[in-house]
Amino acid sequence: MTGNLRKKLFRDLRQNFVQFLAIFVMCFFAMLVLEGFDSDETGDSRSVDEYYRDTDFLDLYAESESFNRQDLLNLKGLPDVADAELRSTVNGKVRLSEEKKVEFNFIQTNNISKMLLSAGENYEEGMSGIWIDRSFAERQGIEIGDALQCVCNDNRFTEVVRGIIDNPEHMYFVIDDTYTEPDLGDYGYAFLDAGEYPGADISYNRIYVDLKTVENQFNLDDHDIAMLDNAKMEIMRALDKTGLTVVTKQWEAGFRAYQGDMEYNDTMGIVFPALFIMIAMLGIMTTMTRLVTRQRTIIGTLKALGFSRQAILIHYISYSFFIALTGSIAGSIAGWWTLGKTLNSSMNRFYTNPYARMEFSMKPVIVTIVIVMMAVMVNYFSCRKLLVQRASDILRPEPPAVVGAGFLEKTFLWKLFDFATKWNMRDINRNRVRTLMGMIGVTLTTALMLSAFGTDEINHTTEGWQYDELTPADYTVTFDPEAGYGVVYDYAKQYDGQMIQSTQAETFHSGQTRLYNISIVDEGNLLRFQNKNKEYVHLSDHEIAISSRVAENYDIKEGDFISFKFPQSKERYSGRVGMIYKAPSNQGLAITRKYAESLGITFAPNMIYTNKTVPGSLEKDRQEVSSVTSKKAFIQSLRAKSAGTDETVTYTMTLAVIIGVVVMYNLGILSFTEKTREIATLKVLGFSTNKIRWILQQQNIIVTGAGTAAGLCLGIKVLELIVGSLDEELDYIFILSPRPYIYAFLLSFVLSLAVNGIISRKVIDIDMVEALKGVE
Amino acid sequence: MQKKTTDKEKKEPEKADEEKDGQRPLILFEGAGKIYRTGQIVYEALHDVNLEIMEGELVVILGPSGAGKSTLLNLLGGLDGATSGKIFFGGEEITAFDDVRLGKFRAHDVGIIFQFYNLVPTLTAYENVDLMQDLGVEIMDPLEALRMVGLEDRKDNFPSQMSGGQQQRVSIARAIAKKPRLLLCDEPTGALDTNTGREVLKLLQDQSRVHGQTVVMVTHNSLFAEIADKVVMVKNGTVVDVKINESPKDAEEINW
Repeated sequence: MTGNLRKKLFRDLRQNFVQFLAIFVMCFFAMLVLEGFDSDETGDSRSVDEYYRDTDFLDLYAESESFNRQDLLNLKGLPDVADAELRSTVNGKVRLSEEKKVEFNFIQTNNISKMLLSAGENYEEGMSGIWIDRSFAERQGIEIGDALQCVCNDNRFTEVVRGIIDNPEHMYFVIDDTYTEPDLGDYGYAFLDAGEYPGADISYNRIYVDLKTVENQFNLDDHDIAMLDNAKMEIMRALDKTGLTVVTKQWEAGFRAYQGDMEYNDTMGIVFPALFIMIAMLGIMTTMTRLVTRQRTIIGTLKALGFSRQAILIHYISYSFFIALTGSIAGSIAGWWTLGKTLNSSMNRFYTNPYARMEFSMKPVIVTIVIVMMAVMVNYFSCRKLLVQRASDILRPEPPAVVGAGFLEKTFLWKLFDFATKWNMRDINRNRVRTLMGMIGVTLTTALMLSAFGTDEINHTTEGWQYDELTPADYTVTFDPEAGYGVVYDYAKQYDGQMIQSTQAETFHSGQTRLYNISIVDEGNLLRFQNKNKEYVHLSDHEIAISSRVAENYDIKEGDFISFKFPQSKERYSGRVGMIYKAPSNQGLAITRKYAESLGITFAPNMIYTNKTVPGSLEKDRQEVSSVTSKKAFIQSLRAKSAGTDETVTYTMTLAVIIGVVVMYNLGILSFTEKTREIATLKVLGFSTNKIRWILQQQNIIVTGAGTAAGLCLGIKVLELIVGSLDEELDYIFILSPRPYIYAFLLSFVLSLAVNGIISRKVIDIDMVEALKGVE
Repeated sequence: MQKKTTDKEKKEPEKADEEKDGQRPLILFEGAGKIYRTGQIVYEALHDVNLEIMEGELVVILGPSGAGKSTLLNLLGGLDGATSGKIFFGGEEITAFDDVRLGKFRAHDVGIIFQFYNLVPTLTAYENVDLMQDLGVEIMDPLEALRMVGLEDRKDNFPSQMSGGQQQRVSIARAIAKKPRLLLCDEPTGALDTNTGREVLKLLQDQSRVHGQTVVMVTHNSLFAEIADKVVMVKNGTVVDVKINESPKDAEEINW
């Protein structure tokens, strides 16, 4: 581009500052949201992949009451198995200023799911001492060389801290049911050599397996999953033990939780940027098309003066090119430092990944190119449309579009309308594209707002749904697995509680196997169930109830059959699915005690729900009591977990409002500018400023009304997409209260009315003589 | 159709060439016509125009509104294409030019002065003149061009900061800066008061008399015929009369 045209470019930018700023802001926010999600997601994905590879993360593990050396040798002899190692995992305590829960892992070798040393010395077979986890050490002030007093299986022993470590299996770590979410550092895990096991004989309850056919990476493809499933079957056949459970890596707790969070972020990272980008594109299209149209005479003059089509095209393309490019780049940078950092720190609250970081991917580059290309194409085509004409044709003012009378104009109703209504209806009819663009702007803004408000409500209603409606118990008491029915029964009687047996079970359907939680529910009303419409439903004494996520994963409908077995037994139970219930977390199966007993299952409750106050001291004083957790504690934990999502949603809501204002103001200004001559004519004819402003506001109300209605429909679809992407362990019921709809509707409407009110104040300033002058 | 009215009547182009001491006309129209089509509507703006304009002439094209004057000017400047006949400029047939060649023709050979000035509003007076340099055309110093139109001291003003007459003079400066062989003016005084209009006419006449440029001016004001070397009458889409003015007046002498 030549010197004077460059000057023209910058002065035109300054002269149309509001419109270009709007485009800049829209590109900026679109890329801010995209890069925010993408930098976190890319960093999460790549860092966990490296972490898993560097620590030789397990491919699968077998769990049973006891494994011996022969079992290990049997597995090592399998053709697909590269390595296997025994481990004894036992929950115990460490005495610090107070007793803290610690999971002790006794190992013989450290080749699979290895400890990653952060400080101290590496573990070698036969070494004494303890390797303690980094979060626990940091929060509890434990240092290398400290002597820790440990309690495990009623045995007390002292170990010197040899190392501070991270371990990939414990990346997402909840030590027991007392915690619904990780509270890193409040409890810990530790590794010790099997020789340090306190007591007579060590009992190994896990075998870790590394396969030749699957890498240690995080990101699995279909081939990997098929290999894992094959190996699982082989191992089950090779070990053939009572109570054997084999878990492949994609079902490992940490893996699943991390993957679930990543998928959720991934969806949010597509849905919200997509909405923002659509709004940005709309802004670019309308602004640039109108800018080119407004410069028709100048384009004609340039052509008449002898400027080539190419030179003029390059000049006009430069407007959108520079604005879209700078907006997108600035947005990407801001996205990294704001939303990206927020998301990343919220992931780090629950996951201990020593490699955690944010990372740049090509996605924002590609999207920036797409945005810039689209902006350039819009300009190219609107400009080319003019330039294909002869210079003399371009220099003539564009003839007004010939639009026939609208439907209403042909009816008797037309006579009943006042002037304002007729003027507005004709204006809409004659400027359909402009009206449609305005409506789409409102639609996208409303959809964005509903998505943000809706996500916020979904996140927060979980709390009330779970703890007021489904488990409205004030206290939850869990018991030691060895406590026995009589002991739990006595507590239930004392605290007027409802007994539940909550345990893991392997479930089977259509040749697939999955691990789920099964709840065997005794009589009472403190564990309740709801169907997809949030209506209470009762468990049947003759059928199995499954959660909707289980139904989705197995593609089971009511009336189908499902089987399950407990890890400790070989017995398989089968039953008809009589009900599919909705639950926000803890997906699985539920049956009544009566039905369980009719199937031959011995009811072994391990928890009670009660509304009576249970002293927290029971947890310390009574050996049979594992935990006492109040509803308040559960809610606090849940709130801590959703804090990260809250920040993200707050960001999105704020951006939605800002971009909403920008879009509406931009479209409003463009529309107002196009109507200036008509408004000037009305002024000349004697219409008062207020009357004209009311006419403009009337049209705005019609457009906003239609736009918000469409926006609410689109917003619902967006929310469905977000809810559908939740982790398999989570399931949010998609019934919103009227609040998000009202908020989104009102906010869009109020913003639109306010913006129109501000713009229509310009009616006062319209110079009737200037506005009605010639072509220019 | 052309009507002969003087001794120096218009003749067949070939013959005319021979008669003028071997001088070839700069512009030659051979049965040129222009038809506009908008949907079902067909409008014949010009038909069978035959005309020749010699180098250095000041030609005034006169005619009532809708007669086809501007269309004639547009065809001459390559702003529009003829739908029939041929138009030659310096011996080259411009009706055969493609869009790129026409652009070059306008950039190098033609200076256009529009009725509504058509300045770029976001460029100063100086930059509007200098804009021609962006076309790769060799032009005189823009300041010199502005000095010629008496606007040297307004060089940094934007069009919106100038009167209509001043804007028109910038438009003339822009057109003359590249010293085109042909200067086309579409109602150059149409939006100006008498005094300013006279100044503009003087400038245009000087371009022809002093600088030897061919100036073709479209106007509906018959008084302007008095300053022209040649007057072309257009009516109902055709040239009805071509008159040679033996003793054209100075622009300062006419009044309207």
